[in-house]
Amino acid sequence: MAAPISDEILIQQALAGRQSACSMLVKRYEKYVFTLALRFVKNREDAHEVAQDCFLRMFRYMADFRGDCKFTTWLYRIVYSTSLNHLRKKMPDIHSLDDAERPLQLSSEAVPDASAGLERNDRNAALRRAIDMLSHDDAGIITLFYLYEQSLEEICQVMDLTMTNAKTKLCRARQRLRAIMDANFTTEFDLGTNTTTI
Amino acid sequence: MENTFVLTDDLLWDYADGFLTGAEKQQVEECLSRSPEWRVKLQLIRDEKRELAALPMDSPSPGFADRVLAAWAVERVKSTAEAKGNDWVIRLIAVVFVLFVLTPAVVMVVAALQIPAAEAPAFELPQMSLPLEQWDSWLTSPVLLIGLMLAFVFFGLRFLDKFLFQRLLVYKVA
Repeated sequence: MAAPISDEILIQQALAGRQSACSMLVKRYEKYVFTLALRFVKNREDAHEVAQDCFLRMFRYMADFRGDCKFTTWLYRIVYSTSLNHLRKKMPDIHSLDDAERPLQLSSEAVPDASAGLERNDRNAALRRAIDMLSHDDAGIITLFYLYEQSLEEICQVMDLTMTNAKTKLCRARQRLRAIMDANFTTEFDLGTNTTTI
Repeated sequence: MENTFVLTDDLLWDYADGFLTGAEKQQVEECLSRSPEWRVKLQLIRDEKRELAALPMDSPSPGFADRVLAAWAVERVKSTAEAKGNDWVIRLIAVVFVLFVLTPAVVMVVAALQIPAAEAPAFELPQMSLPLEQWDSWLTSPVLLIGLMLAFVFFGLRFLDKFLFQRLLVYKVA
């Protein structure tokens, strides 16, 4: 079986105007871009719009991609900024995708009837529901770190954060995810919150 | 000396995520080696990390890639059309500028240079006498006729090019 064509080659071909290379790039990353956009904007219709905008921006500025970072990191950065712009249009008072001042939301107000229709043994579904209940930023950082396996350095580049901030945000996002899981899906996940001293 | 190290869930997550180094990492490992309860917790965290990493991704609706590519094609065609349009306008402006602004200026400068410095009045405009006879003969020369014909062909071809390009644009967008 032939090895898949690398991103770099596809980018060069796309820059040279090859339609097939553009098509391969979109098909290769459509799920990644759409999933991340969905985590940020929380709505499939908006996520479609944001994802399309991301790919158009990707093509528009592809010539500016110098390879200083991974192509995916560059692409996720576009997703982050496009989502932020999209949310700013919808909510003019938003300054970042983060809402540090927001109190921890343990109830299922954000997603009414969070456990309705959920099979008790479906841990994936529970996790996805819990991630949907997180804030835009928390859901984004959890997705980037655990699902897309981006390093902390790469997350800093995507979300324009310092290392300390990224670590703090990730820790806080994890805590919120845990709290939501405990409050809504305790039978699926039953980790304690003890501490111990040695 | 009393050991005040406190192991928490967050610290254990940091350990599982590979954020801890040096003494902190060693202390967590020491704690883990002593406590089966924390080892179980670590295993649960690793399971949860695996589950987070294995979450299926969401797919956009069918035909998403085609819609993106179609939108990109339209954008490219539009930007090319705009670029061509701008190019045409800029050239036209340049020609008009040369004909109506620069030419009289050049004629005035050349006429001024032909007057000897001693005869030139200090604050008076130079007295120019344009060779009208030569202009008349130039107007009937074959050079002008051929030039006009070439200009006509050039503008005709440009018009045809614009016309065909617009037709192609309409076809591509459709």
